Amino acid sequence: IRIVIIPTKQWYQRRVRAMQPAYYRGDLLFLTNQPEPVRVGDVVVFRVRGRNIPIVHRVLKVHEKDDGYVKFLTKGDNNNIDDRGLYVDGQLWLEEQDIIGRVKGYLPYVGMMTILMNDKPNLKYALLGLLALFVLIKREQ
Amino acid sequence: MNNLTSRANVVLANSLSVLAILTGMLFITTIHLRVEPKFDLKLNQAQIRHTPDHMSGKRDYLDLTLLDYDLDIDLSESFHWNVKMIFLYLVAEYENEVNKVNQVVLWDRIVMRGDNPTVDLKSMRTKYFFFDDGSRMRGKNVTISLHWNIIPNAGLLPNIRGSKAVSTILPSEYTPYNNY
Repeated sequence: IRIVIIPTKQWYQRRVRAMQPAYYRGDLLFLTNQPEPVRVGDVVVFRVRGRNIPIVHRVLKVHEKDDGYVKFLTKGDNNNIDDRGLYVDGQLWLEEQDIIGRVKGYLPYVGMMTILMNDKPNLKYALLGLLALFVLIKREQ
Repeated sequence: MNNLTSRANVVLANSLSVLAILTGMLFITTIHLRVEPKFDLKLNQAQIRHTPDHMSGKRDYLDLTLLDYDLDIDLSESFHWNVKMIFLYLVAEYENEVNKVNQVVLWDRIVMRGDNPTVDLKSMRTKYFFFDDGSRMRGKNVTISLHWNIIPNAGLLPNIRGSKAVSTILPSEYTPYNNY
């Protein structure tokens, strides 16, 4: 079981709106990576080949063969269209190997502090400055 | 100065602990609750066409099933205190010579706590195109079921399948385009 904080980088913001109002920036998602069959309705975290950015969307279509080979299509709940525009040019389906994990649990807001720090480095410096100040000022009781 | 900062420190630490405990209790007190909305699904008509999926950019001809259905859902008793949102989705499943498992979402909807809790669809077309991965849809037995994903305020995100499902045999011939 792994824990992932919904992405904080600028690039992601579009994608994160794609699963609103269920998940927002700063929410914490609990993932599992047990091998289990891909089925529609699952919320999966996947990477598009060649790109490093994980995307959290829901499975919309599944076609699985007798030998277990499965291909599937994803879509963000809040998007009007499926994810084919996000995949590699000409790629119509994702495969099992593209999945990083499945979303099983959820905690809101927990990651907000980290995101604030990342978005506003001034905040980070200000807080560090304040801490340093307190350390210097504090007298031994 | 020390008094102020140590008080602020204690207040902050305490409120964070209280929040964490409350969240944990919210999760624990609702783990066992089952959300089972009342719903009714009726299939009115099914037609199969043979056409490329233009949105995919590929030119090959696939089987496309056009469905006409009624869907009634009542979620008014489903929002217990740990339900932030319910994601409803209607799934069509069938098996054919090419693929053992075929699952296609026909329709979905986001229902937030506070939104209108009823779904009343009559003579609806599917929200998403019901294409086959190929052209092996004619005469197949397809099962259509309603599922829902509970998004809690905090906790697990279960996907639940409704107990009632509708099955039908798809037409064995294509419907020509001039047949309206």
